[in-house]
Amino acid sequence: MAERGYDTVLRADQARIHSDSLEMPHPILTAETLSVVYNSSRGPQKAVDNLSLAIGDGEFVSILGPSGCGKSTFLNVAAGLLQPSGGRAALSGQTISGPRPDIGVVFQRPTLLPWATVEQNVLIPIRALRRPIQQYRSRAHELLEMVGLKDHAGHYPEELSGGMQQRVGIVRALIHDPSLLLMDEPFAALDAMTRERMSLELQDIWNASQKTVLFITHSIPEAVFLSDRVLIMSPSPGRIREEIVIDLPRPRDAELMGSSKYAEICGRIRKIFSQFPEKAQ
Amino acid sequence: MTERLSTFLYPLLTFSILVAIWKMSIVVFDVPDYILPEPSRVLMSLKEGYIDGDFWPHVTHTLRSTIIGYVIGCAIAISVGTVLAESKIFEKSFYPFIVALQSMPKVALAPLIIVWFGYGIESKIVMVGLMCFFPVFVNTIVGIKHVDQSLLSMMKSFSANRWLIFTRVKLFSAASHIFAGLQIAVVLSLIGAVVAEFVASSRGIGWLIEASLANFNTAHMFAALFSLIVIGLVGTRLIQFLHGRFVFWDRARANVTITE
Repeated sequence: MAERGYDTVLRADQARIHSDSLEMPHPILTAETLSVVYNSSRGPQKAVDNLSLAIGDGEFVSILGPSGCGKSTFLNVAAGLLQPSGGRAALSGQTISGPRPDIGVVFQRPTLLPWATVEQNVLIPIRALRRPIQQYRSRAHELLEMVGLKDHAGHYPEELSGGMQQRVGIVRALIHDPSLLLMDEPFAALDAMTRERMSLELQDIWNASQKTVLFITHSIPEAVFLSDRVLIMSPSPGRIREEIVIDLPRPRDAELMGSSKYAEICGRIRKIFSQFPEKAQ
Repeated sequence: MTERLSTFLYPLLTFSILVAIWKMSIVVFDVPDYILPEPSRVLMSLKEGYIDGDFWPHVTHTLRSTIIGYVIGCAIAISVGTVLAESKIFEKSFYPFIVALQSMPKVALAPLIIVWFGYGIESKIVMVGLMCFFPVFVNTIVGIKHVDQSLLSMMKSFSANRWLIFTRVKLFSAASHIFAGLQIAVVLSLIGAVVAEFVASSRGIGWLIEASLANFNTAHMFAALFSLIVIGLVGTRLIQFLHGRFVFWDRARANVTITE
């Protein structure tokens, strides 16, 4: 199969990039020939097929792909919520076999507990990890201050806007100081204006916290704006097709989105997507 | 202001018209007293019952068995519902039998319960508890199972154990359903108490109605029925109030009623 051959070449290409120690910091999250098969009414379906990647310490990497390409499935494996059918995902060399305290997840929806205050929501990971709540209270307030929600610690989620709720979600994922932040289309439910502002804020948070971030999105501009590298995924079966290094200078600001270099990278990625066959439902 | 006034005024107006029709039809059709008493006679019965005090021992008796039975029945229902919703083995083993029991009219058990628990207050408590059990039990299970899956994923991703997920997520998310069940249980508990008193008792509002039958004192029956309406209304309102207070994050759903 011609397609298969193309894929192999690409993987070899990726491997070369990854082995280049100058480009690649020490990898923290790795996936090796990972595949996820689930049973549907039409028989077994491959959501993720033979996926390999490595994300370096402190890197901001996006997985970009259309809906249904398996990018969220991969995130669930990395979060320890889903067992792969083949291959493995590992954090600092240790196979991920379940949820881990050194990972923080931000979900597509804020998924805050409506009956708990902002502060109580933020401290959920601390409770879950049975760490002393009192010691983390000041950290919670610092993080809330960082995202501009200092005065909302005692509020309930329904009193906050969608953007504010998602900020709380981000603070919750950072509270236990994980080394890796997994973000599953965190801004997908927000309006365009809020979305742009959240991208800028996330960049600041990333700068300040020095976390490694794996960011799942289907927005090309968002991925290009935020990432050091963008991994492009294609559906049925879910594979990484291409890797784009975003060499735009940092810190990036809203002005950058109007630059020709930014537009050129976005255009290149758009072109790659246009070559994928549309997925039949 | 006018909105508030009209919520009182309109029902009052309807009530006055109904009483007028009631009074008129007695006069027009010459209805004998033992079939339909005059409104004033019912009022007299209520006065005799509550101001002179004949009703109080019966009302307190019914209230006592109803409240005790309600609390015990609902507590057991919530506990058993929780265990069944959380344990696949328990659910598979017991659920079919509970559904079978549910499809039976519980009042049919009244004579048997009298045989097992005697003529005293115990049999009434058991009957009330049995009536309360099912709506609360079913709603507890439904409530716990209808928990938002994305909240569960979130909790799991942060390494939350089962207990934390249960106490911080499932219990709260089931609260609205449980309260809906508790509200239905108020009325059912009164049915249970009255039926049990019909079957075998020498006290209570049910007995009062039964005893009024002996001398065709329908005015007395009406007075007893009004008492039941008031108890039912106050009980339902109380649960609604607690529902709104406790499930503060879900005001829109605070008035739902999910039937058995």
